[in-house]
This record gives sequence, structure tokens and C-alpha cells, in this order.
Amino acid sequence: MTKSLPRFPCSPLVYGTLLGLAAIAFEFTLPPYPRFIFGQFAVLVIITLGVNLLLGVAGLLSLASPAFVGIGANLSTAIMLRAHVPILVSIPISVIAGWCIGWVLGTVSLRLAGFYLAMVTFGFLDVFLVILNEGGDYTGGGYGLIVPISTLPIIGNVTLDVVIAISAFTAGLMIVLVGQVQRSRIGRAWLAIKDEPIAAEIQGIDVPRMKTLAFAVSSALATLAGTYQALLLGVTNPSAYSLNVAVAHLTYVVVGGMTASVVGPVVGPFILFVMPETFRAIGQYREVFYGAILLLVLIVAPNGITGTISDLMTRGRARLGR
Amino acid sequence: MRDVDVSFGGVHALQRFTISIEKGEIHGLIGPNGAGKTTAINTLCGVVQRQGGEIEVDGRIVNPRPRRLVEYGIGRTFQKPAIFTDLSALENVLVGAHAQSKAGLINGALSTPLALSEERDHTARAIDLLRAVGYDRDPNESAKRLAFGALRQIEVARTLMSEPRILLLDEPTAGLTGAEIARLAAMLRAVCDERGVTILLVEHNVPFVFGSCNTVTAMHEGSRIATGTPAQIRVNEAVVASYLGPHHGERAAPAPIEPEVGEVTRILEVRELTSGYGSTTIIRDASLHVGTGEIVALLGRNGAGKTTLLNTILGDPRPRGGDVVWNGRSIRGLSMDRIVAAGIGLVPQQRAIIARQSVDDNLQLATFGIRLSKRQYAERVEEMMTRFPRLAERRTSLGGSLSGGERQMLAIAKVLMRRPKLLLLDEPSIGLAPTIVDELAKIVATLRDEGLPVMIAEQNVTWVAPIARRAYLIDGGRIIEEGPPSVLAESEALAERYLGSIQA
Repeated sequence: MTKSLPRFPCSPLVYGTLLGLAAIAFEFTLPPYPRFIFGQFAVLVIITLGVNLLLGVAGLLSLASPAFVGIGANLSTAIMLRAHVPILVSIPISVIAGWCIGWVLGTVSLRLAGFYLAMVTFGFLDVFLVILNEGGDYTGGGYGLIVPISTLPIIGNVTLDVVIAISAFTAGLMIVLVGQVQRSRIGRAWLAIKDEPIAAEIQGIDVPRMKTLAFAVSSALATLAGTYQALLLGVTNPSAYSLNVAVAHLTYVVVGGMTASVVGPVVGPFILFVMPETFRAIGQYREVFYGAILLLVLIVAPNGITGTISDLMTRGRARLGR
Repeated sequence: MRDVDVSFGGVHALQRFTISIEKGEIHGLIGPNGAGKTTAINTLCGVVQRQGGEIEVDGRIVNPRPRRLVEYGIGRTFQKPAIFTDLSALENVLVGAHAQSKAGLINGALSTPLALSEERDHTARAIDLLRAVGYDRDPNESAKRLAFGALRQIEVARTLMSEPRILLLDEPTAGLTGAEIARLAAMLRAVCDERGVTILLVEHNVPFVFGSCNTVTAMHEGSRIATGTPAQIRVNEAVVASYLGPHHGERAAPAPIEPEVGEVTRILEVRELTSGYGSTTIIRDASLHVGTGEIVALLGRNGAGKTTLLNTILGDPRPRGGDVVWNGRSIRGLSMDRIVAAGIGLVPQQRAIIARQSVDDNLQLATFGIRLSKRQYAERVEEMMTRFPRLAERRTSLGGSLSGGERQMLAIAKVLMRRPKLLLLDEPSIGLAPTIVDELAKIVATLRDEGLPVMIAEQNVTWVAPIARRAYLIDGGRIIEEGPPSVLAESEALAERYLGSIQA
């Protein structure tokens, strides 16, 4: 579990930036294909941070994460195509939109919990997919949109390497910032609501507001990741936002540990996405491999990776103490 | 609070209930089980909706909702401590400062000077409060791993953190030992005198209430029956009658004394048992035995290992060392369902009943997995209804609507439905009014007379001492003494004073 607030001698922004730069540096040590995988991994880390915040911290089960990835990808691409603006404009607009839609979805779902909440968010995802497929020129229908080449000041053309670098940097920064939020007053309130909602309310926590806030933050993260994903793949792909993807996101969180930790959202996608990708050579058996890893992790570490590690650490500490 | 009515599905929990609490006093609210004390507090907090009446705070009529309590300066604790188990002890207390701090998402994410200074101030204050309530472990310890007494302390500290002017405490002494209760009383007095906090104390522990309150209100069946100083209430006839029942003159007859049993065969023998959870060893080399036809008491303070010992006998956690011998055969390492099937029945401290099912359904569920003909089943249910007349009146009520005493009876009835050959009771008297405890003692004594051996884990020694033949004293997971209960009761008091003062 989180310890008391670590004393940061300087702003977490500095640490986030350093971690982001380290991620970029690492990117350029990789050969092209692993580099591309690394970019996708960074995008998944950002999404999983958001899903974990909702499920692992605030205790809300949502299946809408792919919808927000889709909103990010499509909205940002559509803005770029229609308004001919660079990503510096389209991405922030998309993220703000994602935040607002997440806030609304959160408000609508306030009275619901558990499976009912999951059903409503699933309905939201379904509606989104229908809109996407029927959206004509705005969404590219079932084919999706082709992402135009964009430019950035100083850097110039946004090549694949640049997109991967941006994704990696953002993932590093977000790991630090989300970790800080989870350790802050807001994070404590989320955890309190998850454990004892009535007691939390009696302590003066505005439970509805905190739940909507969790939805908004989580949605904004997924939307941001979505804008990167479109740039990374060069297209928006309507089939990439299905229920399967939502389940995959949840699996990353569960395997990662469903705790107020930022290690889980890194470990989850690493084990379930990067490792199977690395073994792409084994071809059709890749899915078997994925399933085997999933089963193995859940048998060996039933509380997810971070949950089990923290158990082991307390055990180790107790042994040392004796 | 004036003329407040509350009813749940036809049951009137509060009827024109009125209570007025003066600023700066400690006000006790007492009454037997099911009198409506907790409902009164829940209504005051807006957790339960009232059908009529009004509530006034500081001369303003209010319609309380849980989230606005902090605005009114009201803080409360729960009968069963409501602890945020995903947080550490310190973080739990910090949640109490939620409404006082402003740092939002951005400030939190960036650790701005505002967020940092708030955190620093609140952390310092939280640690002071934890010390003040007598919490003596590492503040960063995860709340999951803490014992019951510590959870109570954390809850009180968390509530004080929000700087309430009115503090509502729902049975704060339930599950605490003598030393812990004394410390609590001193702390409440200090909170009241030094911080000027008004306290409403809902309690079963009448001596504690009389000892620490300025004013006492007694209630019975949803209505107030008397308000006055402790001295007045003590002699008020209506109050005495409500607590002791109308026949309290006859009550003097103690639970039947155990008949002399000839040869006692040991049906359960625990040999040098060691067990624990995760990395912590809780029970160390504990040996004890239970013979046919006897009641054995397992005495010890909070966190001494009573519950863990009983649970280990049932097979969860599994023993790490030593042996458990049942009727001459080792049952070490068997799974819980097989141990239960072998005839050991445990009534857990939390009175495991299903809140959303009726009394009848609860009883039926208890026979899951054993084959009974319709006639046998009906017989057993009938037997329970004669044993527990209180349940007979409430057969169709939902488990969750029962009072504490009725729940305990139902929990015992559920276990008896399986006709166990040994009954283990884990702190059955927690949260029960004296009359109910007497009733419990009689029921247990009757069971014993019918040939069912019983082991009772208790810290409230007064009711077990007269009916138990032998007692074990457990502390720090070791059986430290064995002997007649009355003798042990004294040495326990000694041990408690001793150990309690070291911990303080």
C-alpha cells in the first residue's frame, strides 16, 4: 500500500519529465519493430492507468474504455482532416472532449454500481460503435479514417519515431502524475469510497462528485491514448474499440493488481501485450501463449502482480524484523 | 430530535422519539437490544429516512444528509468500525480532514506548495490524534492487518480529525477490554472538556455510561422512557424493568450449576498448535482440550488470539504445527467443510447470518449438504423455535432487520440445525444487553445438560464464569493458564492491568 507522501524535493513534473525522457532514450536503442511495439505499449500503459484508477482505486467497473480510445482517435483525426490543424490543436481539444463526455457518463451512472454500471457503460460503448459505423465521411464508416501527416514546430514532420517518442514521454509523465494523485487527498477519498461509502460520505467526501471525477480523469487518459494510437497506426480502425478490447483493458488491470499503484498498469500490459508480441514468431500459438500467461499469473499471483509483491514484501519485512 | 418516527416494513423502529442534547455534555443513550438506539443515530445522520418529526441542530431545523454532517459539525462512529481497509492507519485518519482541505486534482498531481503544506499539517495532526486515542502501532501499518481495538481507535481519531462539535458514538466499547474501555472513557472526557465537543454515546455497557455521562436517556421499543442524571436513571423503575425484564426479582437465580459428570472423555484435543495468517504467527504452542458434557471458557483480551484459535480448529487458517485431535483422530489439515461435517460447529463473532433472507430461509440454508427428510427438517426447526422463542415470533423477518440479540440467537440456531457434537462460540455476548446475555447463559447451560459440549471464547468473563467448568487464559497466542473460571477471572484482571498499562 501507499506509504505517507514521499517528500519530493522538487515538483513531480521534474520526475515525470525525467522518466519521460528516459523512455524516449530507451526507444532509440530499439530496432524498428520492437520500437513500434514499445509505442503501442506506451499507449496501453496510459489507458491502463486510467482503467486502474477507475476500477482499482475508485472501485468502479466500466467497459467504456475502448469508446474513449475511439473518441480520441476519431475526433483528433477528424479535426485534423476537416480543420487542417496540427496535432498540437487537435489532441488537446479531443482530450477536453473526452474529459467532458466521461464526466457526463459518470453523472449518468452515479446510481449504479457493479454489474449494472458495467452494463450501462457497455451500452455507451455499443452506441459509440454504431455512431462510428454510420458516421459517413466524418468517421469513415466501417473503413475508418486515414490520418494525415502532421507537423510540429522545431521537430518537423510527425514521423512514426516522433509519435512513439511522444507516447513514451507521455506515459512516463502520466505514471508519475497519476501516482501522485492516487497518493493525494483525492486518491484517499476514492479508496475510502470504494471501501465504506457511507462512512466516507459522513467524513464529508462528496461521493457523487468524486465518482464523476474518477470517470472524467480515466476517460481523459483513454482519449489521450486514443489520439496517439491513431497517429501510431496511421488509421482509425472501428474494429479496434470492441468489447474484446474493454475486456483486455480490464485483464491488464487485474493482472497488474487492482491496487492504488502505478506499477500494476505498467506490468499488466507488459506481461499480456509485450511478452506475447515478442513471441510473434510462434505464429498461431500466440493466443495459446497469451492464455497460458494469464492463467499462470492468476494462479501464482491471485492478487495480481503488485498485490502479491506487496504481500511478499510485508512477509519479508516481518521475517527481517523477527 | 423531536417526535421522530421511523419504521421499516411495518416494524416501528422509532415512535415519537425525542431526545435533546445540551451543548458540552456527554449524553448517554441506553436501552436493551432492539430498542432502536442505532436507528436513532442513523436517523440523526440521515442514513435512515424518517417518516415524521424534526431534527434541530444549534436552533436550526435541519434535514440531515450524510454528506452535510461535516458542515453541521457532526461526526460519528459505527457499531462495527467502518475502516477503509485499502488505506493505512494514518491515511484513514487523513480522510477525516478531507472536507478541510482544498487541494484538488491538479494540486495533488503536481504536489504544489498548497497540497504539500496541507499534507504536512494534517499528517502532524493525524499522528497526534492517533497517539491521543491510544494507538500505539506504526501509523503506516495497513488497516487490513490491525486488531479490533486498534480499528476502534482509528475510527475515533478519524472522526475527531474533522473537528466535530457533536460526536455520535455507536457502541464504542463493544469488543474492547476493561483497560481499553477505561482509556476510552478518559479520552472522551478530555475531548469533551478540552475541545468542548458534545458527545452522544449509544451504549450497552451501562456502568460505562453511568460513569462517563452527564445525562442519560433510556429508550425502550422505539420510545424514550426516561431522561435524567445517571443517579436518577439508575433507580428509575421503568428503566430497570426494560433492562431486566418484568420479573427481575426472580432473576437472581443464576444459570443452572453444572451437574457432576462422572468420567469425562476428551472429545477435542488441541496439542501444541501453531498457526497464523500470512507472515504473522498468532497462535503459538497452544494446547487445550474439551471433554464430553462440559463448558470450557477461553478467556483473553482483544487480539489475544481467541478467534484465530477457534478458526484454526475449524481448519482455516490451517495449523502450521501441532495437532488437532477429534474423537481420537487427527483432523489436522482437513478442509473446513469436512471438519464441520465431522461435527464441530462454530458461531463466529460476526454472527454469520444472511441479511437478505428470512429467519426460516437462514435456517434452511444451514442444513445445506446434509440429507434430511421433510419430517426431520420440520422437527429441527420446531426444536429451534422452542429453544429460541424470540425467533419464533420473527420467522418471516429478514435477517438484516433482527436486533443484535435476535441475530445471535439465529446464528446459534443455524449451527444447531446441523446437530453438531461440539459447539464453539466466538464472543457471543458482544453488543448484547444484560438480559439477553442471561438468556444466552441459560441456553448454553441447557445445551450442555443435553450433552453438547461447548467452548466459549470470551473477554466478558462475568457470564461464563458461573456456567463453565474449566477455563483457559490466552494471551499473545499462548495459553498462559488453566483452571477454574472464577480463579482465572481474577488473574485475567491482573494480566490485563499489567499488559494494558505496558501498551498504553
